[in-house]
Amino acid sequence: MRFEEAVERHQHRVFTLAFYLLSNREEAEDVTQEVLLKLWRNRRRVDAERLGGWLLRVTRNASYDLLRSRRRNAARTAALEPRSEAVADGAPDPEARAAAAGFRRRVETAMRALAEPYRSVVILREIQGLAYAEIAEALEMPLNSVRVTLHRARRKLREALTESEDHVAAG
Amino acid sequence: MLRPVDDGCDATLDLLEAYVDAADDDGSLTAEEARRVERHLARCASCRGELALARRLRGELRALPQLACPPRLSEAVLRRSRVGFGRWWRDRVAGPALRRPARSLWRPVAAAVGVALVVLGGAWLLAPFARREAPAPTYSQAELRRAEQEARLAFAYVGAASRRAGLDLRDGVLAPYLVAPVARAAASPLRRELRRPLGEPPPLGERRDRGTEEP
Repeated sequence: MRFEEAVERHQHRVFTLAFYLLSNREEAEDVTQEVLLKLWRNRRRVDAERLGGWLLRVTRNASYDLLRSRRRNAARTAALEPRSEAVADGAPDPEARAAAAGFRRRVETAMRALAEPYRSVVILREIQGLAYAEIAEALEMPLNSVRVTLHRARRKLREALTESEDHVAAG
Repeated sequence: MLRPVDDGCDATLDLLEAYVDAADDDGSLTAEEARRVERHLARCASCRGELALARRLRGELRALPQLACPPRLSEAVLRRSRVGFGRWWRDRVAGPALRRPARSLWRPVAAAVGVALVVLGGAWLLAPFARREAPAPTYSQAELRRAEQEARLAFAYVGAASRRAGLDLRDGVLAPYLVAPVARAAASPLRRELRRPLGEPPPLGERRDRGTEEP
């Protein structure tokens, strides 16, 4: 596969993973560019068969390097909120739209609080729609662990949503 | 917080996510596990609520958009890959700096090259002389001791000579040619004053010469 084809095929997946891991568009762009340049430098060493997994692994590592080196700030929280509003616009009435937006915000908040490797597995499986085998290769974990990790991750999210709903009801 | 209502809730909740996935994931649950979950769900409203939440959550996650990478990112990377890093550097970084003053740059560049040539030529010409420098001398301990002794004697001689010169200066030059005339000059008016009788005014020329009490 030529380098141009590889970039064309994988760039959106790399960017999406970086964005959902970092919750910040600018940082996701930085990571994406860094990953694609790393692909260019390693283009002769990376096996074309394993290219997708390699890119996702490098993206995840670069994102976590960035997360470790930069402190979280309010801009990251703000980065996700406009999308919630935009998606909720499709709901039938104002009350339903508000409820849908509220639920999505709680999902996103719970996602940000999710630890690794749960978070990466949820992003790769549920948002990106990767097969278990692809996730196993990208995250270097046994195939069966991917499924177990995904189910635990969603259960943690569900528990977090229930807790936040309790807080809302109590408030 | 999950709220189990009977002994079957824990087992059901453990399998709930797998049950949600069973529709599109054959390996998620065995047929027997699926039947057990369904039997429990039929009689447990709490777990049915959890199932509804699990399905809604999965739907919400899957509705989160796959984002489009901004085209400028991949374009920038592809440009760099096509031209190579060196050319990218020249075009993007060094290029603008070199292209802008194209007509006025040749003079400073020529001057810099000229200076460099002069420096290098001078170094090349002087290199043989630098190589011909005598090696650093070495001395034996006896030679060093003898040199030290001679140096001490030389300093002692200089010291003695300077003291002698000082004495000669004081006794042979200062006394007869400076101290004595000054002393004589200072003493002569005093002697004249002492020889004059009391009450006699000084001679007219002397008073005029001194010019001290003239109006």
